[in-house]
Amino acid sequence: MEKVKISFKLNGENVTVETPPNKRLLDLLREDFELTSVKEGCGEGECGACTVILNNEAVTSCTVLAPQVDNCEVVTVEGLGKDGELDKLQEKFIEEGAVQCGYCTPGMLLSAKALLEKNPHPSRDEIKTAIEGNLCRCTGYKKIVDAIEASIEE
Amino acid sequence: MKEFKYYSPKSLNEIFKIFEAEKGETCLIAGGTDVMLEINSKKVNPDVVINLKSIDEINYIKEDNEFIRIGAGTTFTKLSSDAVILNSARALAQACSKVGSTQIRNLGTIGGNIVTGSACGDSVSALVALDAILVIQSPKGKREITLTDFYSPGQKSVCDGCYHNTPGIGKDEVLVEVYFKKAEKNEFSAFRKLGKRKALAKSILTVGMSIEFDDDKKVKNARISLGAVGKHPYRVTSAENIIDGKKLSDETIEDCLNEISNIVIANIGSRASCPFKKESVKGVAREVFASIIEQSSL
Ligand SMILES: Cc1cc2nc3c(=O)[nH]c(=O)nc-3n(C[C@H](O)[C@H](O)[C@H](O)COP(=O)(O)OP(=O)(O)OC[C@H]3O[C@@H](n4cnc5c(N)ncnc54)[C@H](O)[C@@H]3O)c2cc1C
Ligand code: FES
Ligand code: FES
Repeated sequence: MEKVKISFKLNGENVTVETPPNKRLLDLLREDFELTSVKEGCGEGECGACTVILNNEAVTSCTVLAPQVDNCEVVTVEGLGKDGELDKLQEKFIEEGAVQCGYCTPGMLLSAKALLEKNPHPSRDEIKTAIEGNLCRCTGYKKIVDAIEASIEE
Repeated sequence: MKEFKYYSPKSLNEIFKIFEAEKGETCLIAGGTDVMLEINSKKVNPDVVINLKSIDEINYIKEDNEFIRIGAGTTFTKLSSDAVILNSARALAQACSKVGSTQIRNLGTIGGNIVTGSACGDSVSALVALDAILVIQSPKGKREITLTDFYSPGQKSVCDGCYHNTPGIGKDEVLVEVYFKKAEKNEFSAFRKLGKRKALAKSILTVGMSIEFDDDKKVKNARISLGAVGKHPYRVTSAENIIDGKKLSDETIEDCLNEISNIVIANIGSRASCPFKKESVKGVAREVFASIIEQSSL
């Protein structure tokens, strides 16, 4: 199959890769870039475990065709903190006990991050809307919303 | 996923050249929130996939003196927060804000919603109430068709053996725009949906409505649409006629709700969901009326 060459910004760095076009963004990130924070849950856009930030918006990477991100900007959890320090959101998730098995956590963090970048002082309802596409089978959501709320800059 | 060739054209003209050059089955992908699942599960097996996200010329919301024009590639996120849509086409803003989840609204497009042609397309239900018209382009030029005709059962299939549910669009055609008349001074619209779960629920029932009042607050022009109670969303003219020329009193509204319920029974009477839907449709439509009345008294 004819491969396609795509270039995009991944976690702040310009990258170029040749890929068969019949690959989901989810698989490109996990297989070609070993960014295994991006999880597959349902593979159908329902669970949000595969969420990444694409051009400043949270999207499900299982419903994006890999070559569609040519010239775009993609952020995964690996791109959150800086210089070995965790992002404030990540710290608050730990402090508030918002992580149990952790499978949903990368997606939750990125949905929350995309919200905060657009709206630094969201209401609790706005937080809930931002993570409405992220399922968690462990925590019951309250602590996740608490953690996101706690990370809001004064 | 089957192997296929991939193109990411920058313009509609480029797409039409690809249509001409490629003989195999082609498939357009916009947000991918419907078609990626179908390609991935091999329900759809294209030889060629063409990206629409790279085409800026179908991504816009414009307003002129008479019409609001929306490029087919516009996302739900844009539509639900756009000032023009919020002010002059509230039903559409409300419908788009209720699609799937944040992630799905960030990807999914109005064009994908229309062409997928599922029974419960949320934006479609609102657009039917807004009396929308589609602009479809092919190498031969542009054509226009009302959304209602696009889905009408009598619509002759222009695409044989195609991969999507919608017979109304051909293999070498692209939906480029959807447009509708701007709301008049005394015209208001609203949309409500009933889903199983708040996020992600594909609608089990939707009601869209657009009502214009005269200076005496009598209904001058009404359009009501139902979604997820038939193959595609459709208008319920006999229910519209009940309120036509009248003030929206509790009684008139109740008569209209009963007619809507009768239409549901007539259309899906044999389905297991009918006893539930014939009742719940009244509650949903009542909320839509309430939203319209609230807007009209501001
Ligand atoms: C988890 C989840 C939840 C969802 N919830 C809802 C919901 O609540 N309400 C709802 O209405 N829908 C829902 N959907 C369905 C879907 O998101 C919408 O139908 C969406 O509008 C599809 O748009 P898209 O851009 O992603 O289309 P795509 O998947 O890219 O395309 C869909 C079809 O349309 C064709 N197409 C796209 N654009 C054009 C064009 N311009 N011209 C010609 N053909 C075109 C494609 O070839 C394909 O056949 C949901 C989907 C998922 C995965
Ligand atoms: S794996 Fe993508 S949404 Fe579930
Ligand atoms: S912590 Fe286990 S799924 Fe959320």
